[in-house]
Amino acid sequence: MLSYILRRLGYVLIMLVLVSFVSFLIIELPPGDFLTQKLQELQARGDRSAEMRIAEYRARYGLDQPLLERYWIWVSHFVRGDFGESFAFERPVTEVIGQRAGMSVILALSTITLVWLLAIPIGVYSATHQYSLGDQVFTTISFIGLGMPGFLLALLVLFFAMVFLGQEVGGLFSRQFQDAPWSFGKFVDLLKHLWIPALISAVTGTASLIRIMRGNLLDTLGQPFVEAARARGLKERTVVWKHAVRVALTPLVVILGTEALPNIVAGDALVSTVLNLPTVGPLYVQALQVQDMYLAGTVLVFIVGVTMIGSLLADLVLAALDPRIRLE
Amino acid sequence: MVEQEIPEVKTAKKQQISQNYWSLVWWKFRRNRLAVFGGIMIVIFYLVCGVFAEFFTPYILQYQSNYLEARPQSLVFKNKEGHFSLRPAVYGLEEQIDMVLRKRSYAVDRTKIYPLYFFVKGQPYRLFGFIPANVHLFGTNPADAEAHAFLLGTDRLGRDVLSRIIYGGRLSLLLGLIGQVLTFVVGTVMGVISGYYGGTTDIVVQRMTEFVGAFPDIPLFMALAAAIPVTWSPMLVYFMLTLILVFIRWGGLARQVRGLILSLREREYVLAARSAGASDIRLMFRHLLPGTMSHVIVIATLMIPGMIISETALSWLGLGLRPPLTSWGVLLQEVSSVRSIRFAPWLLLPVPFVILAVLSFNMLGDGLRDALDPYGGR
Amino acid sequence: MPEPLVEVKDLKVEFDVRDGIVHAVDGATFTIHRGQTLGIIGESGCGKSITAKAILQMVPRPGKITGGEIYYYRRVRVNGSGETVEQVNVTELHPDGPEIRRIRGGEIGMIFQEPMSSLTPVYTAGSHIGEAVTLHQLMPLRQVGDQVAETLQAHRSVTKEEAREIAIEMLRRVSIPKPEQRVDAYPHQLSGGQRQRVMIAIALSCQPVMLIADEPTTALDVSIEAQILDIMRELQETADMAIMFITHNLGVIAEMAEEICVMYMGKVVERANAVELFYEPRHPYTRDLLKSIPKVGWKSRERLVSIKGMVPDPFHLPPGCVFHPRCPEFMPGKCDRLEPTWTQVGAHHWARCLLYEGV
Repeated sequence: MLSYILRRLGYVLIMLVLVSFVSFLIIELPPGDFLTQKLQELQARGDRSAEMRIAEYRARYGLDQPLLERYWIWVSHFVRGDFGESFAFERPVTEVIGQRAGMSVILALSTITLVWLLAIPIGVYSATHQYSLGDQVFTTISFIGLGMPGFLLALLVLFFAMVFLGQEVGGLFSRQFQDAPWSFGKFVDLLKHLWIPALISAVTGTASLIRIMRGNLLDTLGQPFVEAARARGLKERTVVWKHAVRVALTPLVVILGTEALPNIVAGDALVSTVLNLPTVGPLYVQALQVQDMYLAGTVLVFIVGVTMIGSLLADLVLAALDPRIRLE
Repeated sequence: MVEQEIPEVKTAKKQQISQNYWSLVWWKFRRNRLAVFGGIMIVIFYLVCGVFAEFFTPYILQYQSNYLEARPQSLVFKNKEGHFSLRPAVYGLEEQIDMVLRKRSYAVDRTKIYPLYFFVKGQPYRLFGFIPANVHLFGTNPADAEAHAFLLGTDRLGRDVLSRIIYGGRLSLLLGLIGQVLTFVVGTVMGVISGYYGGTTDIVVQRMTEFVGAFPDIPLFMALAAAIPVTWSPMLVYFMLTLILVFIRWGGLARQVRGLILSLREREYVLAARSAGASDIRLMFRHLLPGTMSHVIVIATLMIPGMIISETALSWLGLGLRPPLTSWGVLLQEVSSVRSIRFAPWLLLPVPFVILAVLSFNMLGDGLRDALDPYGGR
Repeated sequence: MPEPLVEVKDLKVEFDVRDGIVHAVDGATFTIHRGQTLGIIGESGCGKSITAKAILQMVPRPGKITGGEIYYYRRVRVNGSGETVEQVNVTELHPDGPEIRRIRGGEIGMIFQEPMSSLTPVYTAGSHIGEAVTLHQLMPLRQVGDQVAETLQAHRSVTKEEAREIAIEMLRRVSIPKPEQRVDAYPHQLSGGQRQRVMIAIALSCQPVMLIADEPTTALDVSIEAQILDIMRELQETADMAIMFITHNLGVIAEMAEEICVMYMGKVVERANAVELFYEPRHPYTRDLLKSIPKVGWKSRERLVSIKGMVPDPFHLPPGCVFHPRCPEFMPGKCDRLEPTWTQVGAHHWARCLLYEGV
């Protein structure tokens, strides 16, 4: 087991290195660089010494060196926890990303938790009360939620909240609480803002999970061991939850690792931009727009890293859940 | 001691069983009302937005009126004198200037009523790009210079939102379709080759798709789209975006096809064909591929909404299509600020259209999936 | 004279499906006595499994018991030393109620056809047995009277260590080697024969008075099958347990059963002691079944006899006797118009055939 984990971690590391290289390449693709833009800006403002200053910057960031060298310098500093400097913010990347990275992870985790807490009971109910009114209602709702683009929903929810509820939405805190120390009031304010991203992830995330859970459970309930369990005198509820659901859960965990997590991380970029949440997403978009190389590159590596580690964790949970997989 | 009669129902049942596969598929599809609805909606979308946009829109794409950010004009059924009439009409707009907020806005002016006529001769256009015409499905009286009908309001430059949405749909839907067709071709071919030959080819293709798949698609998409130089012509940008979409998505499709091929490869009919002397290519494309078609079509259909959403998202962020190209995403660029949502919420109207298109494709794809397995019980 | 344990009277089970109503069981009547093995034999789809499930109120949806009764006679201890028999009407019990759940597994056990998939893949053999034991030995025995010692005994719950001990002991009794290790094995680590033995162990761990075995060896190799049957017979003797053995394999049932019921299309068509059934089959269906088995000693030139025709469409049953289109003794004018009734044709032998009715 331990060797398996170590092997997977090693694989993740290798992938991250490759990913960092490819990210670097991609971000370098557009002709010119951040500084060319800045040069144009400064010149437009009539700054005569612009060229000299830009040349200084260039030397400082090593932008006059060939691509591979620049990449190597960047990557080799990873070990020290130095991910380069952001041009746009003129601060180290680690500082800029800093808290936002943590927020991204927290948001992703809470989304997953919320979605699962909702979807599994509903899915089980749908399967055990197949074709009932409740089942049909849930199926319809999840059908609508399926494929509903998160960020568009965010726009709509934003609109309704603003117009009909008169709330100042966007961001995680209202202005007065933004930099204030934690207090009960701040916590309430957080909740007032948190319900929108929570609602959005609930709708889009639970829809597909409900359908999958329902389908899986229906299949599982038809299997012989369920009937055998019932024949031993177990309560129907025990048969369903302790035996059927436990077995039906396995494919869901697989999906968690391979689809749910990447979707949440990817969707984060868009939804967070709409709602102005302090996560890594909006930062990434901005960095791309101005070609802030190191910032964008680091964020991309971070996103891929989170996805891969999440996938690894999902695999571990899978092994814990299903003894048939452990022997591999 | 019971006497019984045998009902003559047996013949009807026999008929049902001996029908061929495709009529069973069609029959099962037709019973799924959601799927049929989805299919009809998609046909309508492509006809209205894709082919005959110029006819269905009251105004041509570039037209800028003097009514900036005007609210939608609601339909009423009255004639010019104010009495009830079967012909739909709209109330006029009256300009109001708010000195405090320094805004210009428009209020409903019930003294002006503009009836709508059908098949009017409006602004000229070229059907299919070359046939000159000027008939629009509906519009105001062309003789009345003041008459205007902005059923969904106007934007910052006074352009009719309804017309822009319909024209926008053309690019968004076509991008999704073309992109998916290309992905389908590339993905299927690569999947078949990879699954059939196995060995090194398979491993190479697998590693490639795995690597691309390690990146969450939207951030990767964004990074690649941001790489498109701003200086390129809009059509070139459109082309490149399509290519990027295909590049990211073909792997998933290829992997599914590969899986199907792997399971079919060892079936007896393949062995039989091979022993009859069929070449590899013939085996791959004439024998194996058709067996996967039903699954692949479903997968491909269900991937189209993803393409449409990706393009919309990118364009909205400014990383995709840019004006003067008009897609739904470009239309949404104008609502990126909280301010515009508050003061001109009708600019959000492309959103329900995107959602409707996506839902329709999902319903259609789902219905296809159920129908293409007509022997599976429900 | 052994006393009755489970009595099935004119049981009718219907399935309401989209295309009509299927009479899966259409008037089945038989009795299982204490300590006795009753065999139920018939082709696939004749309703034998459904009958067995009905006894435990486990008829799957959309099936429903629509007629007849099932009685279970439970021995109950009275006043600490005496015994009385209480009659439980199973057909009136709620399928998920506490009464039937007490019977299921605790008093009547059931083992199934597919040992490959009858055990929950994520739980060990030991935890299956432990679950059953904890469930059924936790239930209080109904006491009339107030002997304190016995009340305490009846309510004492089984501890985890005890459950594990019981599990190991049960595995030993079904001849699973190294039971102390196997108790922690997962189903996929066991062979088919071992899994079936675990199922028997689970069923027996609660000391039931009857075991329903629904085609328990059909999916197993012949050599494994022999072992399983041996175990079942052995355990039956030591525990004085009744067995209701369902199969379509005549050879197996000849080994195991004392009394045999033959079912066709949901009806019991013949019932007799095993020996008498094999040597003097009365119903034409039974006769044809017996003729279709190859026997050692036949000359190679004799052809196997098969029953002509096919099982009829359940929605379009033939009028009169349901077997008449395939019956070699078909009497035109009678068998296609009249339904035969249950007639006694010997000392302990009944058949449902117009040949034996004075018509």
